[in-house]
Amino acid sequence: MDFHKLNVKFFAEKGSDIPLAAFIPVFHRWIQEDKLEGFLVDVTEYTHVHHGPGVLIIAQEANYSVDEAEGKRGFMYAQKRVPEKKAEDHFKTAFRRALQAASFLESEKEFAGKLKFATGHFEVTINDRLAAPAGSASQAEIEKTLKPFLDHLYGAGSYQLTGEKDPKKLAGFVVKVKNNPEAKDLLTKLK
Amino acid sequence: MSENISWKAKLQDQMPQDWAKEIDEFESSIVLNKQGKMEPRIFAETRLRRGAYGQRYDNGHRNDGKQIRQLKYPNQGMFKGPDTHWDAPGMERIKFPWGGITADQLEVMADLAEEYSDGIGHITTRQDFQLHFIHIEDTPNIMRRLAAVGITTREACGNSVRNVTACPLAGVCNTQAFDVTPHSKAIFQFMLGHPDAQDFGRKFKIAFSGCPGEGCGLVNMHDMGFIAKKVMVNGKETKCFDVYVGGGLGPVPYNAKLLFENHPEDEILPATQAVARVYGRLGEKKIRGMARIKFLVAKLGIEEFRKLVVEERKILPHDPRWTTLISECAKEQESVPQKPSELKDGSYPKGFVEWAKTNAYKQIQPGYTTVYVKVPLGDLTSKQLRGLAELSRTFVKDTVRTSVEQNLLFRWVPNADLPAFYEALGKLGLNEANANTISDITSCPGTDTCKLGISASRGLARELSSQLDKQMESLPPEVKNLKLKVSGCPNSCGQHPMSDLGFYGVSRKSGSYAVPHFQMVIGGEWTNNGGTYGMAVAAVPSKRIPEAMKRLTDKFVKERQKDENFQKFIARVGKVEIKNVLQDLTVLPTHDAEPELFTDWGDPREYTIADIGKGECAGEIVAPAEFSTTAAENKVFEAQLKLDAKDFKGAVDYAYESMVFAAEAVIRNHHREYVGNADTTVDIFRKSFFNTGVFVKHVNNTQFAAFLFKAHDNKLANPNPDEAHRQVEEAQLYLEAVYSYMNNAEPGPVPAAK
Repeated sequence: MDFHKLNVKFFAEKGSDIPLAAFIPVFHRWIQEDKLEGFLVDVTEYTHVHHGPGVLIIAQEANYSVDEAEGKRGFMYAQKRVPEKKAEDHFKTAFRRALQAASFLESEKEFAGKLKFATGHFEVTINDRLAAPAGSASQAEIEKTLKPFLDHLYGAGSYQLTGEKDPKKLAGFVVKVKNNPEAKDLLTKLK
Repeated sequence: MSENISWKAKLQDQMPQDWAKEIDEFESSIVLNKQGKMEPRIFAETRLRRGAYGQRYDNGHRNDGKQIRQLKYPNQGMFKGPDTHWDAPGMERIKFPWGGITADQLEVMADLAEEYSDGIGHITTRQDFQLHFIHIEDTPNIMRRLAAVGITTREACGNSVRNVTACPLAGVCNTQAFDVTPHSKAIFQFMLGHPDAQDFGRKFKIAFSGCPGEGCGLVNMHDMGFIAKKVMVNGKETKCFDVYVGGGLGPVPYNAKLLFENHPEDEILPATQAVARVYGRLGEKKIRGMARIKFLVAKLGIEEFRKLVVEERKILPHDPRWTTLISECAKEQESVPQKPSELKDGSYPKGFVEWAKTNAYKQIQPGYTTVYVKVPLGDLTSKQLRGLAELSRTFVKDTVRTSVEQNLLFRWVPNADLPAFYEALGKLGLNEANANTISDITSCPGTDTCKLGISASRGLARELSSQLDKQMESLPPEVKNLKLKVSGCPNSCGQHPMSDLGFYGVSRKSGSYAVPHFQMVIGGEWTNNGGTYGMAVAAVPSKRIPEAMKRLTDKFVKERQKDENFQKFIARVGKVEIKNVLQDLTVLPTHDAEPELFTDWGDPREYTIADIGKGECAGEIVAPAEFSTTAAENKVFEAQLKLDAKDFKGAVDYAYESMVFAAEAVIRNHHREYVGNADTTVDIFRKSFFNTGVFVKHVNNTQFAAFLFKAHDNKLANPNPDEAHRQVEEAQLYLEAVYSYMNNAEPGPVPAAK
């Protein structure tokens, strides 16, 4: 299966009440500072939209966002065009970039102590209905690649997968890990 | 598993074969362009005709707030148009003729927004949808998935017949002569790819209205428009149309002219074809800024234009579709989905009663309501689009339409279902009240994504809407019902000229810093198909617009006479007084004194429209030129006053003087001691700034300079009201172009004459 259009969203543990508009200047600053991996183009925002995509950095290869979909705030990395060769490398790249950016955001001066993303509670979806149409076959295919990756990152048996059942939504899983490992430890494993 | 299956193969049997072939051909042009076998200029027009548009920053640089950054897109050296990088995010425009959208189509829009865009489907001011941040190489599959549910993006952009719009209440409206849906549908089908519509100098927009009095169809602003009416012919009530031509917004709005009165319905297709032929043959092709049909109609005069159309009609080879298409489309009319019913008394959900006051329209058919779904800034998430598809199936069975005010209309909701419908909308976060009120603001994309944006129209609309929603309960009805519309530049995509209070983006300078502004346009009319265009009254810094608006609405509430509407109030009070109310807001502080003013709404970056950095030299050089722009401002304002006083000769004279002062500013920008009469000034401007391309390079439009030349070369001795109105608008626009030039131009001597 082609995993290049991969979304990873780490749900917020703390900071869901921070006004979305507060993230706009930070994202602009990140472009000035070349803070993130990839080629960052612009910031766009949907603060007026109910449970929307929130505030995004549009990058060439992916979008980074503080996402509000389903009313659940989280930090999302939505990969568009990363030319990894192996399926598991897409997971590695997406998790590394998402975790790194979420950590940066938590440590920005505006949000210090007020914002925390759960490293052990996230959603992984394949944003491509051709490669991964909703259904059990896609779910099985994703799980086959995702599980070894998660075993390496979090440890086998330390997490629970809940598959998406709604046929209109993207195929994928919500993952709940027994604890929230430190982002820096996870990033070390993702180098 | 679907590995190695393409959308092309998967949808092959679901797409109309001719559409599938066209998309394959478009995909081939992408390949040819990538191989360097197609000129970017030609590919640009090819993709535009498929709705694939450019977007801000596709020229490879962006101001990050501190510096202008070169954007190193991956395939450097590859372009999808002149100066348009291959990998730069672009926009896909998707046509929904007459605004009709089915549940299946809503769901496909949801999938496409999620998979290729940023999760948002955006409703435009011409009943289209747009997806932003699209990669050009994804567009063929987007088109295939749309084609599989009956949507083509063909001719959504480019020099072609654009989306055919129609009043979204057509068929259920209380003031309509008859339902214009079949006619708009027939014209869309007839003109799509029509050979007589392939050689236009610019785009061509058509609209239908069911009545003359309301604003839903906006015929007055269209290249060609139809207003339905019924007349008695030989004792029999017969459907016909008043046909209009030559209207248009853009930088200088033109009122459409009556081409044919009481035109029979079976003659509207050949009339459109004849108009297309005349426009294709005689319309301007070289100077883009003068190529819309409005310029041709104005140049020839409506009588001569009509004569040419009538002659053309006589020689058109007969086409049976002229009559069959309308009757076929009439047969495809929506069926009444549910039985009518009445709203039961009882306890309603919280907020329902208030919502129903503004968002529920009682249809002409007893027992049914059309619901306006207020869509903030026209943006819908994928989840909302899917939810709306479900509501369409459950409550109204595919009778949903988009509106030019960027909302959705659910037609045929049985009255008894309204509370349940309201609650279902609430689950999607879409049961906001106040549709069609002052807080329901229309806006074009502006600086968010548009290449031409000068100020943040969406940012301003969001801010005003948020402030007004909080005040709504305390606002008097006469204010509550005002129309507000915002455009990011003078091109009017936000349709600001037809609003009570309109705004379009401009910029000004304070010292060496640029300041985002909005020009306030007041007194426009939404009703009567956008019957009257407002006039610019003052350019106010973006961040001061809420205060400016409050002052005007407070004054209106306090001083209005009995039953006086906003247009009449403005006309009675006069622009001098209005300008005085706003005067102090137009005075710019220094950057250090009020830095917030030097950023735009929703964008913390230091504002700029160009790559100009901070520099004392630039400030000094600009000073004498500013003297000239001030004189130009004064003259154009005087011209407006003359116009109000119906002194049309005085108006054109002042407008002309304003343009000469503005031209002088351009020269003084490079030669501060310059003094010369009008002939010399225009001559220097023409030879050193226009012929050399220097002026056009910095304002990206040949039209503005043409306004000056036209006024200078053909002085109007006895102007009619339209001509006077136009010249004043042109003077305002030329002045804005001069400001833009002065913001962008490098210092240095006057360029050598050419």
